[in-house]
Amino acid sequence: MIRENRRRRIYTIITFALALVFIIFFILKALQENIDFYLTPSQVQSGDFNTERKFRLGGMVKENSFKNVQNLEVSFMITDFENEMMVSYEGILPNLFKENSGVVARGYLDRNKNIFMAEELLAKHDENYMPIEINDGNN
Amino acid sequence: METINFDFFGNAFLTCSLLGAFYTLISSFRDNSTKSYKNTSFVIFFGLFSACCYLSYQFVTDNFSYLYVASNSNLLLPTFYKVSALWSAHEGSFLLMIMLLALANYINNLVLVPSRNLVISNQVVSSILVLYLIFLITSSNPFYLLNPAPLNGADLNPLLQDPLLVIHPPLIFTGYVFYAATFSFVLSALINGFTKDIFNTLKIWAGVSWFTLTMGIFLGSIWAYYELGWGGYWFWDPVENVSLMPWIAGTAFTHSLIFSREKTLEIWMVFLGIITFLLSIFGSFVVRSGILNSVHTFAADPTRGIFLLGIFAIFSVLSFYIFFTRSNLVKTSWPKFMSKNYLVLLNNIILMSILFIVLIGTLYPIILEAFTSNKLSIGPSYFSNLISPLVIALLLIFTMEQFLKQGFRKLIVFAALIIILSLIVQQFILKDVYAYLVISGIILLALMARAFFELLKTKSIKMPHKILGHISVVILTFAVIFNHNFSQNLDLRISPGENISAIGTNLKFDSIDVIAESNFDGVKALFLVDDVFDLAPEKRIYKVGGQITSETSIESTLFHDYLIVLGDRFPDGSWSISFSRKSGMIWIWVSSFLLMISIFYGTIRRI
Repeated sequence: MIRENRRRRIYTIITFALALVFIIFFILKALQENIDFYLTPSQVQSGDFNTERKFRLGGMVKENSFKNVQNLEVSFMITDFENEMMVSYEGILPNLFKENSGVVARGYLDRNKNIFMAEELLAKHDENYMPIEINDGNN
Repeated sequence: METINFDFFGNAFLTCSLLGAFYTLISSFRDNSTKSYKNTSFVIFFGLFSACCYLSYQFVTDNFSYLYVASNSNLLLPTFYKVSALWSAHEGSFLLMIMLLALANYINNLVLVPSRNLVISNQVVSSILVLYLIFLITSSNPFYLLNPAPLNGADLNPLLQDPLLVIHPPLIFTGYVFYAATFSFVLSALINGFTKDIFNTLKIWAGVSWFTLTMGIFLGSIWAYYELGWGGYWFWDPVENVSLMPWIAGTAFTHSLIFSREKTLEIWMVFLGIITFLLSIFGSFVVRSGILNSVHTFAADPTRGIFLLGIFAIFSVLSFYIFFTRSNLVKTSWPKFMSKNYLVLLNNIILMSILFIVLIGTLYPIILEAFTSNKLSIGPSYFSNLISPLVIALLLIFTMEQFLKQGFRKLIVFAALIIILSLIVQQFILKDVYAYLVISGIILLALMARAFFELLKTKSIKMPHKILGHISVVILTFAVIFNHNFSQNLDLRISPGENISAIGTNLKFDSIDVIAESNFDGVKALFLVDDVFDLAPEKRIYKVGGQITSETSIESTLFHDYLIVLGDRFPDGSWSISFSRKSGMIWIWVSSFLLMISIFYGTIRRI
C-alpha cells in the first residue's frame, strides 16, 4: 500500500512538473508575440526602440492640429512637448478625445510618410490623466 | 480657512469594532477552550453596520460637511444613487467590505456549534479584521469633516450611475470576504485535522463564495457590455483579471473538495484555499493601489498600496508557514493514475495553468516597468491564444470524467476519440475557429446525450448541478468562440434621412433630437435596422463635471446583437457612428446564468 502510494505520488508530481514546463514554455512564446511597447514621440524619434512592429504611441493631442481629412479619416499631432508625431486614424473618436488632452494610439509607423497609422484610439477616462512619461519629463 | 476634523460618531463605531476584534484575538489565544464568540462577533458586526448606516444617512440628507459625501455625491443625484454612492469610492467600499466580513463571521458564530475549528476561524477572521480596521481608520477614513461645509458636492462619476454598477462592486467584495471566511476554516482544518464536519462547512462556504464572485463578475461583464458601450464584455483589463484570478483558484478549490470523499490529497485543497484567499486580498490591493491605469482605478494613493501590500505579505508568509509546518507530503494519500480523482486533479492543474497565464499577463507589464522603466502592454490575443486550448482540454477532461463510470472500454473509445480530435486540432494548429467549434459542439452533444440517457434509464439525474454546470460551461465556451470570431464592426458617416446597407442589413438614420434630464443634457438619435427594429443611441453631457458619455443602443436577437454608438457631429450635419453586430451574446448570458443556477443548487442542497 505504501509502495502503491509512492508510485501514485510520483505520477502526480510528474504530471505537475510537465504541466509547469509546458505552460512556462507557451507563456514565454506568447509574451514574445503579443507585447506592445508604449512609446512617446521622442522615444520613437530617438531610434532606440524597435518601431518595426506595432506599438502604442502616447502623449497629448497638440492644439489646433486636429483635421478631418475626408469622410471618417482624421489626422492630428501627438506631442510630448519636446517632439511630435503626425497620427492618422479612420473611425469614430472616443468621447474624451480632444485637443490638449491625453491620448494613446495603437498602430504602426509608416516609415515612408513618417505618419503613425492608428488602428485604435484610447482617451483616458480621468480628465486629469496625463501619460506618466510626460509627467516625469516635467518634473 | 478650511479645516478638516475627525467625525466623532463614525470613528466611535469603527473603534468599537476594532476593540471587539482585538478582544476576540487576544482571548482566543489565551483561552484554549471552545468558547462562544457569539456576542463579540455581533458587537464587531454591529459597529461596522452602524458606521455604514450612519454614512448612508449623511449621503441621503446631503450632508456635505463629510468630505467623503462632498466628493462623491451631489444635490441633483437621484436618491437611489445617493445610497449606492456609499461604495462608489475607495473608503466607503472598503468599509462595506469589512462590514461584510464581520457579517460572515457573525453568521458563523450564530449558526455553527462552538468547536476548536470555530475558535481558529474566529482567530483568523479577527486578525484580518484588526489589520483592515487599522488600515481603514488611519489611511482610508471615510469620516472626515469639512469646515465650512461646501454648498454642493462634486458629482458621482456618470459611468457609475447605473443600477448594475450599484450591485457589481459589492458582490465582488462579498465574494472576496467570503473567501476570507472560507480560508479561516481551511486553516482550522489544517490545524485540527480533516474531519467530516469541517468539510461540510468548507463545502458550503466554498459554494457561497464561488456563487457570489461568479455573480459579481457576471454582472460586471453585463455592465461593461451595456454601459461602457464598447461592444465587449471582457477586455482582459488588469482589474478584470484580478477578479478573475481568485475566481479561477476558487473554482479549482471547490472541485478539490471532492478529494475529501476518499481522503486523498487534502493538502492540495488547503493549498488552493490559501491561494484563493491571497488572490482575493491581492485583488483589493491592486485595485486600490493605483498602479494600474484602468477604468476601475479609484483614487491613486501609494501609501494605501504599500499598507495593503504589507497586509498581503503578512498573510502570505503566515499562511504558507502554517501550510509547510503542518502538512506532510509523505503521509498524504495520492490519487490513483487515471482515476476519477486523478482527472479532477488534472482539471485543477489546468485551471492553475490558466491562473498562471492570467497572473503573468497582468503582472509582467508592471514588473517590467518597475525594473526597466519600459512601458508596455499585453494584447488580448496573449490571453485568448493561450487560454483557448486549455479551456478545450478542460472540457475534454470533465467530459471524460463524466463517462468514466460507464466502464473502462468506453473510456478507451472516448480516449481514442479525443486523440483523433486533438490530431484534428493539431492539423489546424489550434488557430482554426471551426476546429474549436466542432470540438466543443461534440462535447456538448456527448454531455447532453449522457444526461438524457441517464434520465431515461433511472428517471432521475444524479448530481444535476454537476451536469448542468458542465453543460453551461461548454455552451459558454462555444458562444464565446462564436462571438470572438464572427462579430463585425463598421464605423460610418451618415446624415439624418440617409439609408446605408451595412453588415448584411439596411440601416436608416431616421432622426436626431435634443433631450434634457435633471442631471444631463444630450441628443438622442433614431435608427431603423431593416425596418424591423429601431436603435436609439444617446450622447449625454453631465451638468456637474461636464463629462460626456455615449449611451449605446442594443437590440438583441437569438443569434446576433445589433449595436450603435453615436460619435461626433460633422459641420455638414452628418454624424459618425459605430455600427456592430455581435454574435451569440444571448448565449453567453444564458449559459453564465445557468452556471450560476448550478452553483447555487449545488450549494443550497447542502444547507
